[in-house]
Amino acid sequence: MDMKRALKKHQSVIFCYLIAFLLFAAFSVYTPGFASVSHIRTIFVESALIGVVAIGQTLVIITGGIDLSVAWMMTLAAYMVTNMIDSKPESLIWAIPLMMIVTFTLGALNGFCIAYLRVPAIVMTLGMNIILQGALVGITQGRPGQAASDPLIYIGQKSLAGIPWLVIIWILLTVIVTLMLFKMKFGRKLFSIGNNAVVANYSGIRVGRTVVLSYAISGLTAGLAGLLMVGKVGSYYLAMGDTYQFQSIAAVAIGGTSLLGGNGNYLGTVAGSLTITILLGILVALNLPWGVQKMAYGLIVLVSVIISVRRSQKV
Amino acid sequence: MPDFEMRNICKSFPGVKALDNANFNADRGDIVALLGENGAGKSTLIKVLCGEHKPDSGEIFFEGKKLEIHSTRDAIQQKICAVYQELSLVPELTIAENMFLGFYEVDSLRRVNYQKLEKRTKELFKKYEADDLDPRMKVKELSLAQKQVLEILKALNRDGDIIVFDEATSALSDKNAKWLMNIIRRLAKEGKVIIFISHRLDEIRSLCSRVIVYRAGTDVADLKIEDADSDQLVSLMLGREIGGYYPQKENFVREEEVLVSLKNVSSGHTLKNVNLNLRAGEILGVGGLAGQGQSELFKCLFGLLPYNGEIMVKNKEIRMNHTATAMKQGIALIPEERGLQGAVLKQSVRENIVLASLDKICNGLFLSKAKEGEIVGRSMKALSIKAESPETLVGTLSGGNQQKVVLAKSLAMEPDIILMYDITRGVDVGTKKEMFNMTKQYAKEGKAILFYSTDSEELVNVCNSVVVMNNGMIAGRLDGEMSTRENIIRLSVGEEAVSKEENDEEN
Repeated sequence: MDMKRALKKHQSVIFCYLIAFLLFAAFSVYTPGFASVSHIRTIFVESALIGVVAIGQTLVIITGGIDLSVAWMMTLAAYMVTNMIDSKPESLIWAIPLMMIVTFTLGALNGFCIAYLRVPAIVMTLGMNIILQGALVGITQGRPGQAASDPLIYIGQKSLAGIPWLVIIWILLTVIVTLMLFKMKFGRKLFSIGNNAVVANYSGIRVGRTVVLSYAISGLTAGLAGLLMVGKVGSYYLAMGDTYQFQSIAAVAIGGTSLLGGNGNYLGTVAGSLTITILLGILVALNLPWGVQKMAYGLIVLVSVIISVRRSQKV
Repeated sequence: MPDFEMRNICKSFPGVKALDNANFNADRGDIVALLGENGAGKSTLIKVLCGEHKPDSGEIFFEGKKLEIHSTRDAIQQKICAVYQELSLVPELTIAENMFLGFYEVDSLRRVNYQKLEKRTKELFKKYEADDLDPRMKVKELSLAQKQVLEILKALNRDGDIIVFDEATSALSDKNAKWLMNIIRRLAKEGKVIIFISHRLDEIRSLCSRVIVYRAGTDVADLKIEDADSDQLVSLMLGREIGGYYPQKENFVREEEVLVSLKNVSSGHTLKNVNLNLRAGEILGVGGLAGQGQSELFKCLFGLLPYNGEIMVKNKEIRMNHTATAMKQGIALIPEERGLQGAVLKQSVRENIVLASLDKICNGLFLSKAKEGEIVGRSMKALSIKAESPETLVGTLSGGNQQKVVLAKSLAMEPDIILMYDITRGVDVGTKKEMFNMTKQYAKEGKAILFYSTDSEELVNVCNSVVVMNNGMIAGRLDGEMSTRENIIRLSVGEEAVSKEENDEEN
């Protein structure tokens, strides 16, 4: 009975993992090598980046908002740990904390304008994205980016006992955010705000502060993703975060979190990240022209978002 | 066979059987009262009739013809319409646009003929003897009373043969209620079928010819109004005999222990220089006509509205700038709109009950399932909340049970001061009685209670003293013997209160 109830409660998350697995299994039969250990590792590494950006995105979307500044927040973070310090490894000691403070603060600024000045989330975060883009292009004058220093490369490309550091960090963050959502006051506040901010306010919840915090965390996780990405690809370049904008939102939606706010689960987002990565892998393996790949990818993600939105509304 | 009949209607929601072989019938020209506790199935029956819910089984007949209703539009086209107590007007549209919303007449180019629309709106006002308003005015410019009248006219404009009035009088002023009742009588004379839902027995008595009583999802009695005495109706609704409606009044006031004290509190134009003391064990009523600053008073006390002046809690000045500040001082508010302000309808009973006391269910950083379960279990039992499990969504409960969840949420905070704003609105007799008993119990425990109600009878019977508000000010305070319905009304229209002896002399 309890088992049945638990299954029902988490049905959308389970459904999402099932889809990811089926996609994977189906294509493994079609392409030998798709299911090789090294490819599976690649899938998880790629997903980790989407997944880390999507942590903050999940929180923000649960409040009923959205964060469209993650793309250049990532790029900014990547810049701060490479070009800004001439890729001197010893400078990372202060550059990384500074990067975390800056991305957290910029995220908080997003949240402040949204919660207290009533700027619509889409406009505010998109504006922030463009400002960051302008600032970075201005500062770097478009000069080519520098290679990442060894410690970053180590985190981005090496493994511990066969498990890539990226994935280990992702798992750690997953545990933390799941605890925050379901075992701490913060999560309760977030869900009630997303469902009905007036009731939350009448219940003594400081709605503004909670919203600011969720955007600040989103800034921070985007920043962390930027740092991890620099290590993974080996160097900093302009617009490196751009693809993660759409992917982070899609991962949240595919994972069963309602884009209208009020419910959701980061474990679903994890499955959403995996699904997107597997999908991309399939499209590349099919050897389609680049344009067709892009179109097919956009279409499939949109359709799965539609399916998941409909599913989450049925409750 | 009656002109209109609903036969063997069944409707289940997850975990609840809302209608169980329910029947209803009426003839043209009848005004039939539909009476029942909250959760008895009245609303569901009406929603089935109006196409909002699809019944699991059952049939609806009108003049021997079976009606197929699949949507709200279907219902309107088959001349079934309903007047609800909630407003459904669009504030940014004009009166005329609102009256015909969804049913605009258009020409071949699909243009709306506004002149015709406005003319027909004028005719509508005239037909139902309503105050003549400019049809081009936007609805947001109107007063609440005017909007309520429009809401009714909008429904009548659909020109139904079967018209449902669902608690339509409960939010109206006396004058407008009278106006509406005259209209209902007239519609009945014109041969319409009228279904009248109300909690006020006197209203039903003066208006209806028959009364059908619902209990637990089905009809339990069908009486001529002459044959139905009030006690009988109440016990039919409850399925058991009830004793006194109000609990025996007792005085638990601790004179020396002032918990809340307001000094010259003002807010905007709506609250002017209010001075007030609220003592431990006291149930202090707040009365007066609607909209005289009562709601603002409550909001200031709960940190929802900025104010000038001083609010002292337990002899310490506190600046109430957020609900959290007020709650920290041990103040709880039970707000007026349970669905909008009180409970998160899409969340479970459990999550709602602990929402205002998250600190209490924490072990350090983390929530404790055990502590949460304990509070939830205790609250559900203490308030006898009828829900299948703590995981049931609040939105699926009946109105009375939703209100109990809101109460449970406030009480889980273990407050010292409880602000109750119209807690019995739209709540059935049985639940009302439980709530009055609870209020008394809290006073006995030494909590201070500020009790607002639109019903002066409640104020007189539940409260130790009553302050009456008029035009944002406290017009007077009525203690003990002076606290009568008559005095409340006197003060609220700017007269002096009179004692019993004076009153006898006058007569």
